[in-house]
Amino acid sequence: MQSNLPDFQIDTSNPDPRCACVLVLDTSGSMSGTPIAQLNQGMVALSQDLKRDKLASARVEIAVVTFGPVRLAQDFVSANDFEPEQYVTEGVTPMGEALTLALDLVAQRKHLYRSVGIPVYRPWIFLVTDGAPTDEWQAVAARIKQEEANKKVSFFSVGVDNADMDMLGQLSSRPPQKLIGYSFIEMFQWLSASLSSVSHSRIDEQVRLPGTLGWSQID
Amino acid sequence: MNWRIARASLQGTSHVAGDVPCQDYNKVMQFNDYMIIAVADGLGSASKSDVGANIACSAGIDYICDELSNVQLQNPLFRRIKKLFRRSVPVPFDYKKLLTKAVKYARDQIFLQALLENSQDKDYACTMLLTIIKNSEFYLVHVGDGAVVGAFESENQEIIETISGPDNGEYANSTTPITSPYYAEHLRYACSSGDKKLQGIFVFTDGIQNLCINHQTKQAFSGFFTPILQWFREFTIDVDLDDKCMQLLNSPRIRENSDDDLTLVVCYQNNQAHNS
Repeated sequence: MQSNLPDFQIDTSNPDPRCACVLVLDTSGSMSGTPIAQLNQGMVALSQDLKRDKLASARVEIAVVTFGPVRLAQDFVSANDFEPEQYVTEGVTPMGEALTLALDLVAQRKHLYRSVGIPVYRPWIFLVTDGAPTDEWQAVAARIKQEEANKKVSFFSVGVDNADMDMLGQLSSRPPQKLIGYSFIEMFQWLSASLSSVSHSRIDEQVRLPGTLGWSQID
Repeated sequence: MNWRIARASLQGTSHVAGDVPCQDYNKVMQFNDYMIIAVADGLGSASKSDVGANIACSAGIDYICDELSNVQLQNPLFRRIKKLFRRSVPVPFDYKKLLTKAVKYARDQIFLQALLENSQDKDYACTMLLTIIKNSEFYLVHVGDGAVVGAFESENQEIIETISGPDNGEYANSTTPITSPYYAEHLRYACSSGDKKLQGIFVFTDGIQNLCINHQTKQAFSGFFTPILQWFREFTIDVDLDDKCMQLLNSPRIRENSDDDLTLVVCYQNNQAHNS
């Protein structure tokens, strides 16, 4: 009598695909007080939300670059192990340098994934700033646009308070979002939901991102 | 040669939840000495990719059947020449050219449908796997992901080998469909070689591929294929093999590990049927 089902095994040697996300956070002097406190709370919400999604927590990898002085506050870590620190404010706004570091980090990470055969989703760079750059940024803007056109990276920018939205608009082809007040928690919840959708997507699925209504101002 | 065939396409659990139709399609044609297998996977991002996959399979098979019958049936001179030379000179036939033209034809049929429905070509985006088996020879063309795996007899042992592995794009959620303007650069071919005798062939889409093909090495996982092939071989001639294939796809072990649409076509030699 033929058995009901064959006794086959599943190949478990394949690693999960990864989605690298670099958060580029403005921690310059002007962010002190309520903005940085809200941003820190938002980061906690992000890490909690990602951990709730089993697939996303295994597939999403987070790195954090902060500026005042440009600092790699967190090198790439699985969302599962991501514990944000409480950022403090200092210094000016060297945004150009911070974005250059973010682009380099993404490129290196992708190279590392490739070398060990881990499939990747398109990496994300997510910039949050309340000011205007105090260093040269035109070169990095050109690089961002080029890498976006070549599908090397997805770039998002969010302006807080009196951020120079015109300048942010020149960074990438995707228009910048203007944060409503200091709704960082809502913004990071959106980021978490978006990264979750990406990390659940399959072959050639264009990911429809959730709406930004809860935190982004419509001009 | 006597081939048996089992095939099924099943809507993925994530598609059931999202009310998206099964975007995989398969079609098989037995024709003279030939077995022709077509499998297509409609891309999740394309709104009419289920239609695209259906057209790709039907058109691909139609084209091949037409061409083979033109050559072999309606051309008496060719048949006479072939008969004359059968024993001494192998009659060359360009399967690669035939398969290339079949993909082109399938593409054109999709574009025609897009025109009729006033839609864009890319709405019908799908991958395509087209395999011709004749006796123990095979020829195939492959665009996009999914894979073809063979069971071969080599030095009295059965070995499981990837014949054509998945061609994923730069990212985990990308591949090249036949509707792409660059599809021609992504056509991949494979055919049998003399030293290994084909015993069975598996053609499947990416929903299955992730369970049994190593992404990096493209190696087929024999712990998956060998028991399944053996299971099919033991069915007697009266069993509905497509039904069995569907049961297999719907089994918990597969469903729990893949939420995507699933298509599997298994074609194997009948020589062990008496074992049951």
